[in-house]
Amino acid sequence: MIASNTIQFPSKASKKIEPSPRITLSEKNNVWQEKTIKRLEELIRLEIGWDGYQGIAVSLENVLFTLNMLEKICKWNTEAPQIVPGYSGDLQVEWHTLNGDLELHVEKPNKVNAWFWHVKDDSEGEELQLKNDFSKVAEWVKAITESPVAAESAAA
Amino acid sequence: MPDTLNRPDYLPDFNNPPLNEVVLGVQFSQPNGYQQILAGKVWDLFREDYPLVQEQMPLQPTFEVFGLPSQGTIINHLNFGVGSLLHSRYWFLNKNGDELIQFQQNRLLHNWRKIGDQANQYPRFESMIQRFEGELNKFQNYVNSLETQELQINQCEISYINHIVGINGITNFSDWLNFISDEKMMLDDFNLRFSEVINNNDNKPIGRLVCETSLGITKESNCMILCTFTVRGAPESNTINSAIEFIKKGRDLIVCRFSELTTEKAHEKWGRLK
Amino acid sequence: MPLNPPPRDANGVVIPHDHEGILPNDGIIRRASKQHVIFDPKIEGNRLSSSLFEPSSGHNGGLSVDLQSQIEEAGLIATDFVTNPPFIGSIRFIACQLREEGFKVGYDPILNQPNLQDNPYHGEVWGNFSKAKKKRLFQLCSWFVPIEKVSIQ
Repeated sequence: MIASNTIQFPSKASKKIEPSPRITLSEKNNVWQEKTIKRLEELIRLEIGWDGYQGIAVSLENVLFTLNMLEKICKWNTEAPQIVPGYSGDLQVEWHTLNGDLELHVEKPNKVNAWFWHVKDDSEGEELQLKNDFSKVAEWVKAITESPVAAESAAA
Repeated sequence: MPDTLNRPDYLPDFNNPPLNEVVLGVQFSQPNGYQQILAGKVWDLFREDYPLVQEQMPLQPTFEVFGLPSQGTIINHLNFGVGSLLHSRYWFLNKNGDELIQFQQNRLLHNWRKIGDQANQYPRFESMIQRFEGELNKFQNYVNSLETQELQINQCEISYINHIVGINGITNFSDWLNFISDEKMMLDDFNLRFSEVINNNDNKPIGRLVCETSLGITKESNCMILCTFTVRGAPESNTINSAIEFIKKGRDLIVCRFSELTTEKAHEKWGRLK
Repeated sequence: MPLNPPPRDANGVVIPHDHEGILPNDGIIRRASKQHVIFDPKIEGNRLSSSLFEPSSGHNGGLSVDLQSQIEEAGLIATDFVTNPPFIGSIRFIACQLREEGFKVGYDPILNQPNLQDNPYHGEVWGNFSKAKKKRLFQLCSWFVPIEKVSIQ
């Protein structure tokens, strides 16, 4: 959004010997990213009436907001969520595991309905209206995608 | 005469700050009933003061959200063909070319920048924000004429781009930036970026302040320090009033942080008033 | 019998209402796309997502449905009519079930709208689609046109 014709500093650096490529010991590819991006690219191109009624494609702003949100709730090795389009350009991010269910309905940027249910929970789950702070959801993602209950009971 | 009447007393002030560009902006959901063919109608709203137009690549929507610590961004690697989903970003420029409005279907920004011999004077924030508010209200009235609706603002931003230039270029970086020591390092080049989370009164995160510093060269091929401060985040509500409040708070944070990260010696050069 | 026109606001948008012409035992059909299908390891298979019951976020927005009696009174086969586009499934309620859960069941024909296929048998369900209610809706409905290898819940 910047309108100046600023020249980024090239001169000194270009006279130097190119540094060797960065070598890291922990280069990790995020497990959830590729699948998620592929799915979102599909949803952004849905045709009008995809649902048999007047459903429209998922909006670009909801796609980008969702990706920002996922970056803040998923670790590099988190399993990719399932994503379901909504009628009005909205979408729902879902994890269903043996531990429980987590559904994040992104109605529009800064308006997310989050619902979490754990198999150990007798109630109908916990529901939150969220704007831009997803710290609680990050805990839920961890609870639902790590240490499966089934594995725990098998180990016991 | 620059308008500084409403400038808060607690803010540091400089007679000749190294500002090269200031950007005030909002991002919103595409208004109902708006189509690309109507971009000319939007220009008509501002055409009297901004008679020139240029076409630029669109900006993709960005959002400040919070949760786990940053793990690096993936957004730039996406292949959504943003060009096919967003129309061009139009620059509506004034005659001098030192102020412009940037418009695309989900953004409205107002820039001031130094041009030519760099002698044009910064109109000051108080004047810029007042005009930007007027421009937002004009645009609000327009979208309301398409369909009864309020502009749904989801992000606001303010950026100050400084070009720190010595008379004969920059030699000692620590004369200007107080977080760099020339005594301990023989710096040849640098590129630093850090961000801070901004909380509201309830200690809930609402945005980020990002500082980016690097080296550049002037048109005269002298070395200069580029120092950009940006505050971006979600306003309390979707309204114009709320967005203006956010931008005003962002400006306070930027001015304070700029003063803290630059040296007293530099402040003397820029004519610190308080 | 053809339904009376629904109430509309000044912009011509249908106002949420409970239409008297939609009788208690009338079938209320909701189409389900393959996009609504998710995998749940708890049932070791596929099922429908709760987003199937997410109403439109627009002004006066409700949940789109098809009115079975109206389709059949027009001499059409309802299973064929709602299976459009192809490969789509559908579930069915009875109007009184929805009303007992506090929902309004109304009429909102789609006619002569740009880019949209006419649907003179289109209805809407209005109400509070909370997570608990969505769960309840899954319990109440049954397949009308099943999607192969997919459970309702």
